Amino acid sequence: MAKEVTVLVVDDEPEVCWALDTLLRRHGFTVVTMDSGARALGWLNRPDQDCRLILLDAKLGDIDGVELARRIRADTRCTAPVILVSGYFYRDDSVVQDSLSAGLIAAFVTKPFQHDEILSAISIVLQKQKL
Amino acid sequence: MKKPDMTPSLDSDERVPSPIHSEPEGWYEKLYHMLLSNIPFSLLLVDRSLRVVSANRNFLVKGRRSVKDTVGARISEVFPETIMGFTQLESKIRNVFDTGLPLPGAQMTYRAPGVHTRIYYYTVIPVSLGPTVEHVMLVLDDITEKVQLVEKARMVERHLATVVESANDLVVSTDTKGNIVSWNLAAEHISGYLANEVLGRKLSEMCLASQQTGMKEMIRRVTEGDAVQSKEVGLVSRTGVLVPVDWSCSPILDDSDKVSGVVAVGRDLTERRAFEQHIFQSEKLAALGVMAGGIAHELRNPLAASFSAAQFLLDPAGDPTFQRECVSKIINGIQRSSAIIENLLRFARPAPASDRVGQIDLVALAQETISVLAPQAKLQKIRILERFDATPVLVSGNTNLLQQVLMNLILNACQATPGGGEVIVRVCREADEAWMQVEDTGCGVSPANLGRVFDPFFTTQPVGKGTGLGLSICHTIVRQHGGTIELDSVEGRGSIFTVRLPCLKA
Repeated sequence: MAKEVTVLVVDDEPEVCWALDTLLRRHGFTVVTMDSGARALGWLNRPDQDCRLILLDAKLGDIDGVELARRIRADTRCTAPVILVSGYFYRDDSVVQDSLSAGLIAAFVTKPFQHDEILSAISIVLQKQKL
Repeated sequence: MKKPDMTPSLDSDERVPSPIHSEPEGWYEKLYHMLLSNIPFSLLLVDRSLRVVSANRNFLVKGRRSVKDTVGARISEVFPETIMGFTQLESKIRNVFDTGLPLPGAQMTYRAPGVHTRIYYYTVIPVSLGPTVEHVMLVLDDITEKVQLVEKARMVERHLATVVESANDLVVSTDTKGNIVSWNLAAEHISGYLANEVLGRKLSEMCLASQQTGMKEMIRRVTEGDAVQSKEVGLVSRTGVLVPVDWSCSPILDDSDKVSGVVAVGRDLTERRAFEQHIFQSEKLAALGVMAGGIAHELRNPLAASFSAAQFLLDPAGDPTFQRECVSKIINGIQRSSAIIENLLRFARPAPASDRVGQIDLVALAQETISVLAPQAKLQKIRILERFDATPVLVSGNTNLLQQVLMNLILNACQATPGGGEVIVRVCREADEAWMQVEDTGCGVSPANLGRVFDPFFTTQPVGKGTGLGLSICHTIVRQHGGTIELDSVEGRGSIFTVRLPCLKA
């Protein structure tokens, strides 16, 4: 699968970062993990980064995932699609539905996640990007 | 005369020689008149034909009569017909003439024209010079005032007894040493002890062992002249049930204003406690509802990690080191989840009866409470900072209830800090007090609302977001623990809630 694709994982829970990092590396992605919204924004503003996909936790210590997605669009030049990975929301929560239909997030995956589920969400999102 | 004269006349010739013959003429008559006019009784001398021979001044004045229409008149003309009929006075007088025996005293009510009804105690005394009774003396003592006074006293006494006996509250009186002197019906009913079982016992000994000092102290202060004292002291019933009672003690003063005893009025708080228990529990569940989001999120993180690790283990080609790492992640995740659930259960569990009191370390209590609330606070971008004494801060109380106080204060602080920030929780010892403080840098309370924050149902939250009971419950619980709760707040800057509880010696 897509070689050399860099994925940013933002989650304040180290164990979740470990799981996503391990999974995505095994499938050939380059993974960068950040534990706060501020660090993520800082990294995304670096000129040398080549982020192609962002996985966001919905509730970070300093900011909500949806709000961070908005800040990424507003305050950085990064256009990578965002997948919300959350143990807080349900798929039919209005926040999730609104963000999906507004295109703010490209997909939503609940925690705990099936590896297949998250991989297929990633592949669909990346496929759409290519088209 | 049919009956023989059984009793010799008192002034029989043998013992008291008749003085009439030995004194100067007229002397006795004068003496007799003088005595009769000054004596405070009404006197009538009546002869055998039941005619009045003599009436003293008192009789004439009280009866509004003159000598002319009295002396020489028949007794039946002197007293109204109804009295004659009711008292059977004529036959009684005849009987005295016949037997020579005085009439035992009786009571009559007599209303002379134009005056108020008077009550007389009357008796008929035989007056004899020789073996036969020639005259009788009708003696009337006006006892109207005495009767009225006794009647009045009896009425007041009856009224007071009714008040005390029909009260729903315990009404107990003691001497200055605290020994029970009276014990009303409500006290019998509530305690299961009858009055005669407790009279003479110390009231304090009827109370919960750990609170006896409180009762002794209250009685001592009242007997030493302090004003009314009130305190909650549990009463132990005959069946061993602890009855929470709100006592109010006041002094009983004697005529010289010296304290001669103590009256203790106690209200049985059992029903109120049960009701409060219900409110506490439902409010706690409401608070748990608020925390559910945070707890769910908190649980799903270790679950997600364990779930992933388990899925990695499904790959048969994994290297042993990585597989061991996965197993340890799973174990770790399960332990974390389990700890979160345990904390939650400890909170959700109905509080044991609020009378279950023990020694509590407020530091440990605060740590446990914060561990449950931290996830929810984190969701609101709030960090809870712990500033605790290094040594245990011990109080006597009910763990569940005090935990609820701290939980409500922290949740309140979080609600007051919608933009995120810090909430500082302090637990420390100040002299002989234990302090629990919750400080936030939130919106604060407007001066207009400062006096209302502890009122039930007072809330600034939109409908559905808060019951408005949290702080009022804190107030009730803290008061039950013999403590105080205070709020310092500056609108726009934040609030500090301070709970002070009596400290136990470490």
